[in-house]
Amino acid sequence: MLKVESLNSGYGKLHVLYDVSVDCDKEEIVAVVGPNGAGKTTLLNSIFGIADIYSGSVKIDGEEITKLPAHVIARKGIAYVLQMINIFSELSVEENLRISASYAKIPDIDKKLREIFEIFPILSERRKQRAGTLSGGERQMLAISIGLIRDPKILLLDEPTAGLMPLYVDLIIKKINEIRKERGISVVLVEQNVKKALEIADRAYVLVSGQIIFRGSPSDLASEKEIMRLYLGMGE
Amino acid sequence: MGWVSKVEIISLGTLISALTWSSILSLMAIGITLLYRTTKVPNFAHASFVTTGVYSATIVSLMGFHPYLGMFLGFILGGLEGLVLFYAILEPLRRRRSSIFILMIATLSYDILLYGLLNVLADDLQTTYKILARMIYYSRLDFSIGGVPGVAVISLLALITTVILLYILLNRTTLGVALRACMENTALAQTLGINVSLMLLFSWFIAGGIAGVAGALLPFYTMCGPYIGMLYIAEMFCASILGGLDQIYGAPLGGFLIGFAKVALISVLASFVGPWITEYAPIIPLAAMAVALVLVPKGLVAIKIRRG
Repeated sequence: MLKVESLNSGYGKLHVLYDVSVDCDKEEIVAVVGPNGAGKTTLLNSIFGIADIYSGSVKIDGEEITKLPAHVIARKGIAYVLQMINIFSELSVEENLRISASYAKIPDIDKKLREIFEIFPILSERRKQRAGTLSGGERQMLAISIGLIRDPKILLLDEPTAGLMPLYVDLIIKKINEIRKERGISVVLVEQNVKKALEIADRAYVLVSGQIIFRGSPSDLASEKEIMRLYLGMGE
Repeated sequence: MGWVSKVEIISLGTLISALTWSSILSLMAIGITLLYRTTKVPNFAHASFVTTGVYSATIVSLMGFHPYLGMFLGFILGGLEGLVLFYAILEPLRRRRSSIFILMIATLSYDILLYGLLNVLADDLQTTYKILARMIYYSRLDFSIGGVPGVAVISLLALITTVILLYILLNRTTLGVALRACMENTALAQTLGINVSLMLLFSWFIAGGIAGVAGALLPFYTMCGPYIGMLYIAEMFCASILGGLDQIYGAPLGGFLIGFAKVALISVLASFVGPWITEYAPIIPLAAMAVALVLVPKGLVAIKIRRG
């Protein structure tokens, strides 16, 4: 499905990722974890054509998308939910969803809207509200919905639970898992909340200083006490 | 004669003049605000986009049509100048991650280039058609309705039409909502598959076009030459900043405040201290902007109306 091979990337002269290889199969949740500044967001930015790629390749279903502009990659079945400013706060909730759907050429947008509102009913109540007035948790639901309404094959999520209260963290993690199961979407999940990410992930990568230092199942990662303690702040 | 009667005597003609200037200035300011919202660049080339509108009216007039029809040619030519500036100069600089300062200087350079070309055009029109192409004034070709000059009506109508069309474009069309999305967050817009460069290009065409329309109205209000845009560029920025650079609809508010402050206030002052004060009219917009921004730093649109 998604295959990142020997990726070297960054921003201008700032080299961030070194020979990073990551892959994500169909209906799989892959967690990418690591300390602050490890290059997790840069990995997603590189997949999506926002960062500068120096060498290596990114393929989706075998099709090379390396160095394509972001707006072209967005039409290849990948949806990217950014970490921080991930909604248009001056547009209404419905406008946010509609603009995303129309650029994804979704044929029946009203039907898709109803599906989204079934997943996140609170957004239906807020549909005419300016998105900037939503609470943190509602914003995150909207951000994920903006990606989801595009009917993606792969969803790239950059720290979807950052800054949320525990109630919303559990809800968002649960929804991500449901989305994968019910819609057959692959998810690349970059998370600071390692515990929560590993609960739903099929495989995990640990990224430290721009390099992958671990790849394997969440249970294998849990047994790597040194990595868990030194880089993920867990364990003794 | 008391001060009240002095103000009353000057107010009739002055108010019409202030209304006309405010409408034209608002049209000029809308484009500056739009471009600042989309590209975050203060566009100094707006001066020449406006002057292009002036010469569009001249060209249309030379072709045997009424110079008011120059608004249409002005829209197209001003829009094309905007397109060229963005596509050929600003976009390559943006791709190299140039700073806003560099982009701003680039617009200034482009303005100087256009100023040179407009001078060449003026000289050519003067030689070829034996017209005073450096002193264009169409007041005598204007109509009037009950003593009110046509330009007062047309400029106000042009402003209202522009604001309504912009509102419909930005709120009722996918293209417009996408443009608003780009104004707010280009990175997020890209992730949705919106071609941000194309959207910005579109905004430069619209902004240049509106400036061209404003320019085509100018010769009905004042004498114009290739310098006219440069003469008013500071006032355009005053109106745009005062209205609030974050809100397109703030520009007409700023335009009316600056326009009325300049035309009406200077007229009132002249009746008290003498006509010499009119020489200092250009100071008024700057002073009005300075005072207003001390009181409302984010521009007029930031003022919240208190209810209850």
